[in-house]
Amino acid sequence: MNFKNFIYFFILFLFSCDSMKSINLYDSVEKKEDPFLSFPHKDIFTDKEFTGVYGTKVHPCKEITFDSINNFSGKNHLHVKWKKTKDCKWLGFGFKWDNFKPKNLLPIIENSALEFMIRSDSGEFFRVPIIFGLVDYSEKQCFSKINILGMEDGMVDEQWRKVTIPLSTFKYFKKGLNITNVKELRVQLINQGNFHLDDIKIVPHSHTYEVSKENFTRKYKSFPVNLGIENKYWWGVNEDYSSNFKFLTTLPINNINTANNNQVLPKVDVTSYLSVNYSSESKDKKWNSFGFPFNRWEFADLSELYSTSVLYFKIRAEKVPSIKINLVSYGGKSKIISKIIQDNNIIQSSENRFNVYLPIKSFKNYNNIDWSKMKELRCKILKTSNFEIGDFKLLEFRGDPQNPKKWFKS
Amino acid sequence: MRFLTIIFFVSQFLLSSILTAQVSKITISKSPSGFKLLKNSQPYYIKGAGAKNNFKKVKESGGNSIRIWSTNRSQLLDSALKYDLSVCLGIWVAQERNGFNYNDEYSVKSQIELIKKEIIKLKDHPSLLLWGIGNEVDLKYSNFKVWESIEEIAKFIKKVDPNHPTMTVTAGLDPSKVFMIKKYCPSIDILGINAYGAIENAPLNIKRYGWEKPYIVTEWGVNGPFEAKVNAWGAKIEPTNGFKSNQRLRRYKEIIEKDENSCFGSYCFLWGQKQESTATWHGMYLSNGNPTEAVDVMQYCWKGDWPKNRAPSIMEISLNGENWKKNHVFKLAEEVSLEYEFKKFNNDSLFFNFQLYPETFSKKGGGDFQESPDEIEFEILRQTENNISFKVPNKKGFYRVFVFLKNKNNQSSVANIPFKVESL
Repeated sequence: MNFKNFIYFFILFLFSCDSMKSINLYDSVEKKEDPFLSFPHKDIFTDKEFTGVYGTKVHPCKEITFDSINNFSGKNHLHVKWKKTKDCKWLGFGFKWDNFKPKNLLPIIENSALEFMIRSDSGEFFRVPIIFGLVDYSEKQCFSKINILGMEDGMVDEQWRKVTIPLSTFKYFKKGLNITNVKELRVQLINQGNFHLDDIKIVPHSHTYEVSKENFTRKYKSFPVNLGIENKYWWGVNEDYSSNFKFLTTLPINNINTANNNQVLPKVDVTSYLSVNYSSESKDKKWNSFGFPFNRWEFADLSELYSTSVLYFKIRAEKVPSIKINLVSYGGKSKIISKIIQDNNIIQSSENRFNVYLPIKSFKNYNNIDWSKMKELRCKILKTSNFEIGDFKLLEFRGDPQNPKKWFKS
Repeated sequence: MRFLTIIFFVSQFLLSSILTAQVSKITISKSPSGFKLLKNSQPYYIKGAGAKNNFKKVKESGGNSIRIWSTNRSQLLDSALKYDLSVCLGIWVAQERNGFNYNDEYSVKSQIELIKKEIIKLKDHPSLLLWGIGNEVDLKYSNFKVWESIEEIAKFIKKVDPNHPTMTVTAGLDPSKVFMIKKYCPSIDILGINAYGAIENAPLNIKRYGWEKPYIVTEWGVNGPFEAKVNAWGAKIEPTNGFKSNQRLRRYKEIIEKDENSCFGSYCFLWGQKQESTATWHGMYLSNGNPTEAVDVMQYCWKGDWPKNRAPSIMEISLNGENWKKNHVFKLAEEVSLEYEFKKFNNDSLFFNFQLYPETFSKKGGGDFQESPDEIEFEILRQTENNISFKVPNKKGFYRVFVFLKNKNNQSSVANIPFKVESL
């Protein structure tokens, strides 16, 4: 190939790229349409002549008329007066909304709103006792109400004012309403009122408020679960009122100079532990309990762990004191389960030092509390005693609930 | 014309000055010994009643304040003013247990905006003592964001109303609630506690759980239906009025009054009547408007002396000789003896009335509305001063028979006892 041919092919190559035009696989790409623009049922009420309204018959508790004085638009508007009594428990009326044609609101539910004009005969109102309901063909209903944030200038008074109710505030999924097959708009009247309504329609609307999913829950999935490690969440320890309970340190053990502090438990890897000096004869004998939360007073979800766990803690004392342990949940058939420490829960590790093991399955009715909403651990001192307690944990335990020693000694 | 204009402005100035002067300035003072509530710089101890009516009787009995639960009946502030009673004004904050979603920003902001308008409207009312922001919003709740709403409302009050302290009211007391309020609601000045059975340890628990500000016992009285023992078929055992009166008196004298360094006083519950498991559980009045002996007890608590005419007092009630704590099961249409023991404090004649109702078995709590059952007609076969004989209904079911006793002034006492009818 000589130089001329090379140039020729090179230019041909370059132009050939340019000449390779993209070809659609299909004849044409459809333009994405705004679902609101294609929604054909925007008008709900304009004038009596064009819109079907039912429930307007004369009634002892309500009066619904088509008033032609001071309309917002058109020839007339709705004037609704009502007063609920014992004899009329449900008051309301409805709009046939495009003559009961089935309406699919799903495509527009997030970006549209019900909008209308409203005024009173006299007075200012921040609450309007009217509830709007969407009704489907199986008579299922979902509701929303007039929210002050949707009122023009945050009130209703003698001027025509615009009210907007975002369609997304109708909680159709909760009520099982078929939002793709809506029949009508129903209006429920509460207590008493006297309002004028006009120009009811569906409009585009951007609802900027969020519904968060926060549930204040921490799920625990592995052992060990360290408990009570932050003093600020404990209760019952307040030397202004009682010296029965005192924190010995609030510092991590690594930061403590044990040589200068005889009270610090040696070789105990706790960040918080408590000195208990309780007398059932003293004047503050009722100051006999303390506790701490599992998860900073929010929910601790221990549902995956509890059935294979043991509550463990350390005690330094001449003999193990009599303590009632309560595990408290925010929910469940019972909210509290309890157990008093027994001999079979104690393993002596050295002189005056004991490890306590309370298998969760050894608590009576342990299945009756809601382990996904655990709240706190409480300790109640039952007899005069002097000891130190700390290093609370949930550990894995798959032994006999009535004989934890065997599992831990092995 | 100029003269008239001057007169107009001067009169407006004077009028607004008078109105401003009527607003009480309520403050809290702290000293090493504790807290004091001050009304216009004078110590003020709340001798209060949770009440929507009978204000005159509160005043006559020695009370000085009423508590209402919402701003939607603001005319009650005017009624209180008429009797020189201060008002702990509740701001109704929606409860999660009744369907409110505190994760829904739109609903939350709307609620706060509405409440702000109510605060602006009522903050200068002369009878206003303090704001009670929310009532038992913590009962059966799971969304702690409610405390953010409480704080936003309290903060707004601090901004627009420097004259009245802020309080939030919890259902009983618990370390988690104390923690949440301390964490989320720094603008709350006072903790209100609704405590029935739990009042026994309330002063101790306030300290143990770490509440460091003053408190008010915003509802107290006898143990509530939610704390009551139930019989074999789940009917709640309601103590007699006589038993309840003794309990009220002891709780006021030995618990509430004694914690004066951190407790600003209390509001007894309920200076009126409501259905809560029964028609007579909490009410210090009967549904016909007659006062019970509980009203006399409150006079003794507040004034230190009993009324000249005291209500009679039913102490015991039994069926066929067995008391109100037992399970009473009868055959269809069986004849039964209803016995009752009572005290009377003078020689006035007493009037008895007996009523029979179906058992309601309501599981609602927190003061939520409960419907009253319809009375059942029954025939009294014989009657003496201390018992009647009657035929139980000829229909299987669960019932409750009431004894009402009153003197010529309509001061009353009541007791009831549940029973079951089955085809044995």
